[in-house]
Amino acid sequence: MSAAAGRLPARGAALVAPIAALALWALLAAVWSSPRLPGPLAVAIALAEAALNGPLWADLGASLSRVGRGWALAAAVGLPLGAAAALGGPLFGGLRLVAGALRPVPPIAWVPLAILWLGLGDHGATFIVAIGASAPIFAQASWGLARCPPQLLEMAHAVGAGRRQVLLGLRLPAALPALSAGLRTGLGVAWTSVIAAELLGAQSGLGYRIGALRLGLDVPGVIAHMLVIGAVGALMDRAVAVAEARLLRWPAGAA
Amino acid sequence: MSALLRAQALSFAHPGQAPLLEAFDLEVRAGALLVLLGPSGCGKSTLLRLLGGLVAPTAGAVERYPRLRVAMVFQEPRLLPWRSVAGNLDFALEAAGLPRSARPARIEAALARVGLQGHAAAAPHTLSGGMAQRAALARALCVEPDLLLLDEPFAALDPLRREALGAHLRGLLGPGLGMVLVSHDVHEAAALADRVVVLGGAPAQLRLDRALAPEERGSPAVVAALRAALRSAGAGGAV
Repeated sequence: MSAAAGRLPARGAALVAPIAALALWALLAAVWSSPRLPGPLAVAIALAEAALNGPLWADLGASLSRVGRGWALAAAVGLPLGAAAALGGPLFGGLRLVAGALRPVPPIAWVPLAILWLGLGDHGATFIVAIGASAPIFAQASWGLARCPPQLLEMAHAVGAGRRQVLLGLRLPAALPALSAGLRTGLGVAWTSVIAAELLGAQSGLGYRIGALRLGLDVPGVIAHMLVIGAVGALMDRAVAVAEARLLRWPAGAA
Repeated sequence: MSALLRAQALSFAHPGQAPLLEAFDLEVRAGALLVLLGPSGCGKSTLLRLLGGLVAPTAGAVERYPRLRVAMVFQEPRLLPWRSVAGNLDFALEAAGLPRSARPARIEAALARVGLQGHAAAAPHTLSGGMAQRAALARALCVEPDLLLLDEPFAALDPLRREALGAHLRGLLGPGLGMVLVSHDVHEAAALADRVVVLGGAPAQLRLDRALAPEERGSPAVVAALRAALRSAGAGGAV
């Protein structure tokens, strides 16, 4: 049997669960028959409506822009602080305690403070995104830079590498998979945070739109925007994973 | 043959533990392959690291020939997985302070010495275990060392590759290059060494210091003598 013939049934099998979920949704909608649960068709129409005539693209742009700025801010703060916690001795190592105390606070719990400090709108939501994304970025950076394989460190010592070469030629590249994992997790958290932040304290964006549509009892619109949020989040994760695979081509754990 | 380095009254203990070495003396000469043979955990790898300056002795000193260049090969290749084979050699040359322009010729020459010409651009994870260990050997050779310290470099290889790499090592010996090889294998020691030092006990004592003439190498009599010395060194019947 050829490889292509072997793959096709597998690819088809992977579609069974999504199709079953869609069918279950359609069935529940038909049985319940209430405006509170529209079927897939009504949602598809609402989606097309929002994409063609509604503010979907403007909302998507607003949310993505906040995610981009908040994520970049989180990286700009989280990576250097993580590096300091890993390499800066006990004084900076205490940063881990601060981060550990802040991590259990969900980003959405910062919304009241964000509104008080930065007001309803762009800056507040961007701030929430940065708070959410910085936690995994900091954690992975501080962990990855601290935990260089001791065998490689001994090898570097044996060839007589200086501090600078050990940092730039060994510790940093050895930490890249962790740094990348932190950025990727941070992006996922950024996306979920921006929706939550906009739901509570913004005048635009996909999260704001869901809240507005709910007030207008436009349930198909709400669900259509939820699907967009899910699809965009999955696409972003996929894009980072592809970039990661291209940049980090050595297998994990190889030494 | 002149002494490359001389360990004098060398002692070493991990903090809070029984000493591994106490007042140990050893002289390493140029152009020869010295095998440090001993049971696992007897302190021979630690002795090698003391000779290489990777760990500091708790007492005593290692006196080195002025400007002696030492390179080390470990049990595992320890290649940087994100660099090519050539890039790994470049790491050692950068550490040695060689200008960038002089490195490619050195890398090419070192890879040729271990039979890896044509693999400069290969990624470490695409190499077989034997090739990876030869790349590690090339990384040690490219800095043109006077002394090569080898910590059971064949441990992870199958017997055939082990023999081939051992023969290759002997071929690299010359008036400008001496080697110290740590091993726990009597056959390996008997087959490769110009001189065998058997260690045993805790702290490690010198149980045998024997020079091998070329015709003695690999002979059953030498194997038997080394085995007897190892037994007295406390390895029991395990060898």
